Amino acid sequence: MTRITLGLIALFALIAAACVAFGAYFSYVTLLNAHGEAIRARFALTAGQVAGTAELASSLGIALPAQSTLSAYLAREGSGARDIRSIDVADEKGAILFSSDPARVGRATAPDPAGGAVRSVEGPILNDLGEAIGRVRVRYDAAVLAAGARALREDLLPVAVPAAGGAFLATIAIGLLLAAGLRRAARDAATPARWPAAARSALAAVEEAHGRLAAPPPASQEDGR
Amino acid sequence: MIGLRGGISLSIALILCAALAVIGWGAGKAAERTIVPEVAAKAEVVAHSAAALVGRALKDGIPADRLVGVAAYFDGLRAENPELAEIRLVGAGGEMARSGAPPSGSPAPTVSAPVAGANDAAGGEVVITVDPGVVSRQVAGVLLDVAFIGIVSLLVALELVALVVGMGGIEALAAVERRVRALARGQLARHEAAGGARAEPLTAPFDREVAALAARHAAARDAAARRGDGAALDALDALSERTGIGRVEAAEGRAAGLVRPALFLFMLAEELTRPFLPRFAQTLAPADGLIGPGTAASLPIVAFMAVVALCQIPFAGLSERLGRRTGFLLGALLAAAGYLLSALAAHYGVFLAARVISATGYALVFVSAQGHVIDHAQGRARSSALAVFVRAIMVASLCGPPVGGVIADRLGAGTAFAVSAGFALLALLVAALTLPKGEGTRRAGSLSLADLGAAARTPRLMALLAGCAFPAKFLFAGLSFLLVPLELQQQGFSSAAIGRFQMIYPVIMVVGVPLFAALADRTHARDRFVMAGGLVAGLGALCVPLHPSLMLLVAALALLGLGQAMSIASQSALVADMAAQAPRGGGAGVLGLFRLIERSGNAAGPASAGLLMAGVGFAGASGLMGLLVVAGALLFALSGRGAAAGREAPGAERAAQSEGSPL
Amino acid sequence: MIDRRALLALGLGAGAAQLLPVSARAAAPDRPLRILMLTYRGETDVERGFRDYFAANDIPAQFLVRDVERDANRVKGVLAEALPSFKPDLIYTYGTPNTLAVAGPYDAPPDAPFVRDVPVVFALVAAPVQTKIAPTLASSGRNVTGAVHVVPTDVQMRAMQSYKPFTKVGVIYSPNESNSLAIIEEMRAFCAQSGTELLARPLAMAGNRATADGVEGLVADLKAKGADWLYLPPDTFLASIFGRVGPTALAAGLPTFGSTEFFMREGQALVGLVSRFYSVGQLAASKAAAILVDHKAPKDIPIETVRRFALIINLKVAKELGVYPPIAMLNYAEVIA
Repeated sequence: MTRITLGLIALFALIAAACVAFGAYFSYVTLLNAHGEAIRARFALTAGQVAGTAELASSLGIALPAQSTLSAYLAREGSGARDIRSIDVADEKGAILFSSDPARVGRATAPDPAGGAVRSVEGPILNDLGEAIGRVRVRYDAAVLAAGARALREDLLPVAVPAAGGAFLATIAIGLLLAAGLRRAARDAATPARWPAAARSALAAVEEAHGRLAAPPPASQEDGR
Repeated sequence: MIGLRGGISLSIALILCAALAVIGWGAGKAAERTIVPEVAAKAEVVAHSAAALVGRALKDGIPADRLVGVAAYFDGLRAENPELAEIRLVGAGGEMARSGAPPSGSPAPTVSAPVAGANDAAGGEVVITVDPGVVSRQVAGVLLDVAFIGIVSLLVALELVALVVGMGGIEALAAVERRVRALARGQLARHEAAGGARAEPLTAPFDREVAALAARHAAARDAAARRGDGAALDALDALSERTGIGRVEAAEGRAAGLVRPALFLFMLAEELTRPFLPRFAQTLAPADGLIGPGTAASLPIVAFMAVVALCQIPFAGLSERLGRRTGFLLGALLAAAGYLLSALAAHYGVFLAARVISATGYALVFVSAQGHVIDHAQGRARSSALAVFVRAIMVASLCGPPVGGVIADRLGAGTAFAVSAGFALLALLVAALTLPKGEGTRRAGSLSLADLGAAARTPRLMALLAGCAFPAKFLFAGLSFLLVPLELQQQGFSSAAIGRFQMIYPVIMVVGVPLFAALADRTHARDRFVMAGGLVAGLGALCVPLHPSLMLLVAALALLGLGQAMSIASQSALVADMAAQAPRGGGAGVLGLFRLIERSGNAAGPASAGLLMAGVGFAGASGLMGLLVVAGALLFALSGRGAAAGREAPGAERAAQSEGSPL
Repeated sequence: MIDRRALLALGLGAGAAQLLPVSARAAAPDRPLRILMLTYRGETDVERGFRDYFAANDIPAQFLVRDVERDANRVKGVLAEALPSFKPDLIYTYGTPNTLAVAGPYDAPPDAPFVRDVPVVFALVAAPVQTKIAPTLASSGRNVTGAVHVVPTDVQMRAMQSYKPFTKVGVIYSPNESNSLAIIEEMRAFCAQSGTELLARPLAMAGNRATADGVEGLVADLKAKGADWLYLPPDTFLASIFGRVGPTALAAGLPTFGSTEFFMREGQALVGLVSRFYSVGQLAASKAAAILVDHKAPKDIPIETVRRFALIINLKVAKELGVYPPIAMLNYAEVIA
């Protein structure tokens, strides 16, 4: 019996701790996504501005390959911007026409390997008819994401570990208290004198009734009640 | 006196609330430290870019005091970045251009970038003031997500606690608890021996006491009977009634509830796939354009739902023949195989086949679990057992999508399917351990087409089915499983966020169904609840085309949940009424037809939604489907005019639990 | 270099400039191809681009250049002299007046005295459909094709608006150039639509020829009437007298918007949305090569617009006028300091 109770309490404590850990991990993932989203928004902003400029020029009939002014513009946007490796403008076939990194011009835009040191955000450049005439890709240093993940871990772990531990211990404590109470109540159940008030009054009523009704003295019947 | 099990559930809930609040606080701090600076960094990029452009103009020889269109340019930047409250260009002679105004109230953070003028002389600076309100709203959005995670964690924990409590091996504890609790209520009844030898030391003394009391009571009663003392007999019986003396309390009938943990795990497996399934299907769709993107997304859902709907009736008989346990195990195995195949599928056709396999398993598990509950519980116990059954499904549909979304975002859809397969196998294991063996060789009473045909002639049944039952499921499945995930994905929401949107419906259902069932019973107005529910459910979707926005989408989902909560219990009760009134044995046909048509809605919903979306877009598709539901409700209302309300047999509350399927 | 898509459209394939001769040489005639070039105001970058295309592709060609000295009426005499003696395989025409003088409108009566048996390739025609050189850009339906060099009029108006919004726009044109008349119509439509006013001033005529007489007065009049811009249409004659128009506008403080590279190169227009004349010449040459080397019929070769335009801002002029571009425009404009 004790073993069952203790096992059950331990199991409940594990569930409590596991669910706190679960909540903490998913909170971490949520924050990580939000942080990544905020970072991507920063680079997407640059990509959007470049695309907007190229689209303006394109709406004036200046074809993307002819927008030679983009070279200087990309250089201006790329220089001094934190974490940006390069800003590329490619034609619809993926050949880089202009880049803040002149060495990349003429190359094909190969997607940066997933999980590599360079990530990118990109967006289309549309003409007046809404057709894509090229793409802007802002390539950035993946280290900025890793730094965010590290910072989040550093912030959350010191909170999550004590919280999970606390939940574990608190569940055990409360479980033991409840178990002790149950055990006491069970032991008390063996002795009618120690029964709870409701049971004692029920017992008293029973005793009284049985005493009165089981073997009634004939006289008392005439006495009435 | 609350028992150990109840007490610990409550304690765990409280402890988890506290622990998760701490985590939430930590998350808030972490967000402040990581996300807020990132917003400032974005403002810096804007400042840098603007400063570079102004510098270019100065270098080209445009005098600083003759710059044109600076404010307009800043306006454009602010329009694209709502967190920028004010952008100013400040030169040696003071402010040269400005857009926006600094936010009132608390001091706002600013960033600036220097402008390099002609010959690299200092040309002033661009100063941007960030609106802290917008930033804190962004952080609040993230924290809301974290709060959702907390709720899910809590529900999962409670479900796991229930799982442990529902498992065998703790009868001894239950036996002790039952006696203690009875005593606390002043009940002196004897308890059926249960709990085995381990409970003996704790229960035996008490049992001896109450047994002695009972013996004395019986003796007293016998004596009174012999005397022919009617008054004494009455007094003794009243005493027995009040204190339970002389009665024997049956041990808890837990057989029906045994299926719950396994069912919860199994449902979780399927619910995990909700947020990412449509998009995943699209990525697998052949590029030859034979299948449009809308159809590509809806086809697997449609196939799944169609198989589930079509299998309801034949599998009811099958699971009886096989036995509920075997049916459950077989179904779980099939479904797990389907999920695994989905995880590995590289071709659209294979994926579709995998979904059909999963659907077959899903239908078999569902029917077997339902059958198990009905086999093992009678009367009032059946209603409460089915209520627990429904709750397991609802909690799974609450927790599954957000968790599945996170897994898909982090590890990919393939892995998420593999996790689903894992859950299905876990459900299989739990079912194998908990469900009783070796029953269910009874003759299977399968329904024939003639039964269904006869049922279709039941007065008003078709109006109810076609007007309310079908459209409600049609809209629910189309909106929640296909349109919303696809639309939100297009708006750039992550699978995790979509999962949280899909929680809206089950939350409202969990809260609303019992409430409205009780109300409908009390007011004897089931027809009106069914009709009003249909109107409410359709209205939200109907309004989406007016002003397609995220808020309206949320409202549509919430109204759908509310409407369904209003009508589903009364629908089931009405069907139960009709089944009860059906001539000689036609009741089974009525119920079978109800299940078939209701679940057909699940299949037709995503199919039509996919086609409509391709034709008239998201908003149009939502509106048309909403229109169908509203029209159906009106049709049902018209069909009821003049027809006398039928005899109301079982309470809607109970009918909801025995017939209304949440999915 | 010529726009690759223009070549693709001709069916010459990618990198046609280099690859074309493989098939071309096989089919190339023994004697050099003879091309009669009818210029309007002497040789320009257009002709240079045209010739360079043939040289770069090793297509042997002999060019006979005849200039009409800004008077399309002289075309008849040139043709009467050159056609019998030079026996050209193809006639190149510069500008709308020359092209119409050679090939006539497509709906001219069959007995009208226009060239029909020799293919005509034009360059620097702004609006071939409106001027009836061809019924559609897809096909002239006859022995004519060519290269268009201007951005659609409404796009130019928009560019002008985004530099400096206007309520009144002035334009000076030759009333005898159907090309200019067509563009005035398009401007009128744009102004009606955008709620702005068009002040159109035709040049004086001497007989059937436009003259520069009193052009300074026209400019001053436009300024006095409140014109915000002076638009310089792709008017062949106007270009030839820009030396008088440009300085007058500058002196009057009237910003000018050029439709062709010419106005920018002369250094007096404030801003222009223009194509490079050299590219126009190359595009025209690619059409000529398609006719002469690939033996495609001119009516099967679509008339095309050069795809490479540039927004050019003349900052010296901007400074003199005190009319500076909005800074956002500096992100995509080419600036001549």
